[in-house]
Amino acid sequence: MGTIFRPSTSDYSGAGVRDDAQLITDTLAGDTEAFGQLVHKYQSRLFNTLFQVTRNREEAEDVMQEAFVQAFVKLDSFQGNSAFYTWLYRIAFNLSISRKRKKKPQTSVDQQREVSGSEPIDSGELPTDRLLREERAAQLHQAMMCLQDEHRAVLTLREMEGFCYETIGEILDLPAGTVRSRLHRARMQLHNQLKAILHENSS
Amino acid sequence: MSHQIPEELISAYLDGELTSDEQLLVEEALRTDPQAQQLLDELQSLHDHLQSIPRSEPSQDYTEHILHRAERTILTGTSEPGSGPVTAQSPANPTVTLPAAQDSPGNWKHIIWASTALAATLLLALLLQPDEPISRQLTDATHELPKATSSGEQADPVADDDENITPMESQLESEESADFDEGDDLAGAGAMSKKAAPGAAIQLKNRPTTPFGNAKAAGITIESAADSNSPEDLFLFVSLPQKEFDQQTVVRTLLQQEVPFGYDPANRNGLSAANAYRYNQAMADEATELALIEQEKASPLADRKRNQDAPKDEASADGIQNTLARNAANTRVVTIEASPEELEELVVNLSNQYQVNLGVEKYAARGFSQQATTRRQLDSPVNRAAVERIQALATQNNLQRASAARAPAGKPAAKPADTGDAKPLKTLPETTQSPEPSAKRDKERADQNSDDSLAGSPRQRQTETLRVVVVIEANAVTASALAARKAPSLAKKKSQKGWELYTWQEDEVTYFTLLPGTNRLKTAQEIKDIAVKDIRAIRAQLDQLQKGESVFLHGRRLNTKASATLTKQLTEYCKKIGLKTP
Repeated sequence: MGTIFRPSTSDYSGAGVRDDAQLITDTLAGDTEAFGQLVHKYQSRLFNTLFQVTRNREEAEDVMQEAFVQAFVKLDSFQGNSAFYTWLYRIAFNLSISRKRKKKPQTSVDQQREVSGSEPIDSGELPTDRLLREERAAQLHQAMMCLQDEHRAVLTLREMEGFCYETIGEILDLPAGTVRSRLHRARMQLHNQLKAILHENSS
Repeated sequence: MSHQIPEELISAYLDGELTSDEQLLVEEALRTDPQAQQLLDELQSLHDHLQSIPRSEPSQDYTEHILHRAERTILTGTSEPGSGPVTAQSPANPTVTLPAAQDSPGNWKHIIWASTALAATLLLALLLQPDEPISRQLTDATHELPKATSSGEQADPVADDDENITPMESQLESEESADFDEGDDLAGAGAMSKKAAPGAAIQLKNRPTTPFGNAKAAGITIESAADSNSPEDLFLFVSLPQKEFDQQTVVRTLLQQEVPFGYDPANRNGLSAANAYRYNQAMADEATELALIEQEKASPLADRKRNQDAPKDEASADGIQNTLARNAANTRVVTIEASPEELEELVVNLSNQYQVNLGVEKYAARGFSQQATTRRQLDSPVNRAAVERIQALATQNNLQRASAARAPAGKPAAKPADTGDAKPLKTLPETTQSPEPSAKRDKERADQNSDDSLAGSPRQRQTETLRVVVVIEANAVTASALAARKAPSLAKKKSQKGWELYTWQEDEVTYFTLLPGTNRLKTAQEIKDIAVKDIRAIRAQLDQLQKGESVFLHGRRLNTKASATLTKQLTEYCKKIGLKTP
């Protein structure tokens, strides 16, 4: 004890299961501040994932917040069998799915503009490089947008988060075998979409 | 592409997710099948491609806002509409969407209603924070405290678990219960905190404008002390007759005693509200258990007849749910902040009318996790003295009221008398218990700034705001109450202008509020304050209405309407139980 209430700056990036467990214990013991640390630790990561999947900043921020709130409320039902963030992601993905069901898909044109327009520029690279990179990013984005949500989710969790199949399965509530096949399908879809876009652009 | 192996194996190969057998298969295919190799290359380049996607950051740090919402949700069971997610459109001010009610003057006149599960009495859980406002001057000192107090505390086993007092049953003896004997080691802790805080005296009137502002640091350090075992809190139980439990007016009738009450969501150090929530949950579990036992008792063949005789909802699973729902409907949580004097006033006033029971309990004994609360509420000897005094008052008034109730008609005693017009019983016994309170207050008004002019012992100056989580319950469903329910005697509610039933949706949660009908339009706040979100809870409320009462369904006053099916369900339920839905 003693140190647990100090902000843990050092293990900000690590999964730090033990620290998380301690923070959870403390939260359940009435120390909301401890939960604040969990939020602080995971919000960016969770937001990024949600953003990649939803392609909608506002939606991602909403879901991210709500996921933490629900995690807090349900914290005593957290068994500790999986990592906290796995559990958190699972809550977030469930929320995201149920919101999707409620809402009609929003127009994607504005989002596209918003997303691709928000690229940071000026990194000192050659203009051609930059153009190339931007173009590539735009293409990738366009291709991602064409994927189904479930494909985007599994791709993001694997490629950007680097989760193993088992964890992805826990988050999305899928057997590992399904993760494997779905991931492959997602990759092929993305691959094909990219090809189609390249083809379109060149003709 | 025609591979001899499933393509997805190549994908998984890239991810390092193959068994060793599969691995061999793939490696073999890669050697012999150019298409396999090509696929692997494509997937690899796709992977590299995806890595180039820039990471996105949220538009702001949401930690604070999330915690506010989380606490609010846990306390009220709902996310206030105003405290919904901060959207990207309002990144500048994360607090902008906090409920307006939080901004009321006096900085603590807020009430949070929480519709939580269960329990059986009206219960005030008092969480005292002796060191709170002092913390500003004490921050360093209190940092030292945890270790000291916890080591002192280790010696005290959680011996009092068995003292788990059911408010209804033991309100008269609990004042002497072992609960308070814990004070022994507390005295030590208190002495320590006193030692740690020489000259930390602060006058009540000088408390910071935001009483919570400084609490955080102190709260946290105090909490860390709780790594030790057996934290204890002060509970005040008051049982309230069902018919007086008018959800709309409970606060007005019970808490209008000029006691500043409030809950500041910005102060998230203690989670006392959440503790209250957990308390209620623990009570809910207890009640479920009891109900199950009841059910078991009732289920043997021999008893089947009795079963049939009993009201339909008594022994069935439905009955349990109804019980729970009714309890949920009859439970409200308010967090108040009060000085010991103010608290005393409140308790005295309450105890003039209701059965009041003040006791110190360990949370563990109430089903909390061992460390559920960690505040050393009674560290301050002054707080302890105040609590003891208030305890004594409550007991006295209980006894007097009980005997007054017994005397006239020889009615079954313990039921709190309906003493709306009864003359108030004992008020502050200024001479016996402690001469300080009223004198102190006058003094303070007179010389707010003088450190030495206070009469009485100097330690009283360490008395500070007490945090009080008030859980208001009507007509308990503890063991005894469950039994009592065999002969249901709930007064059915009537309202001259019928009843207004509001249903609406927020964040995909449906809320219900039942209010007596009025000519005027009710404010949204008024409606939301007592909302419940479980259809069973609202049914339980409807159950309490007299047959033939009219229930008007409303929806459109609040953000969104409830679904038509839901409205229909409710209408049908009303019909079923004999209510009119014009």
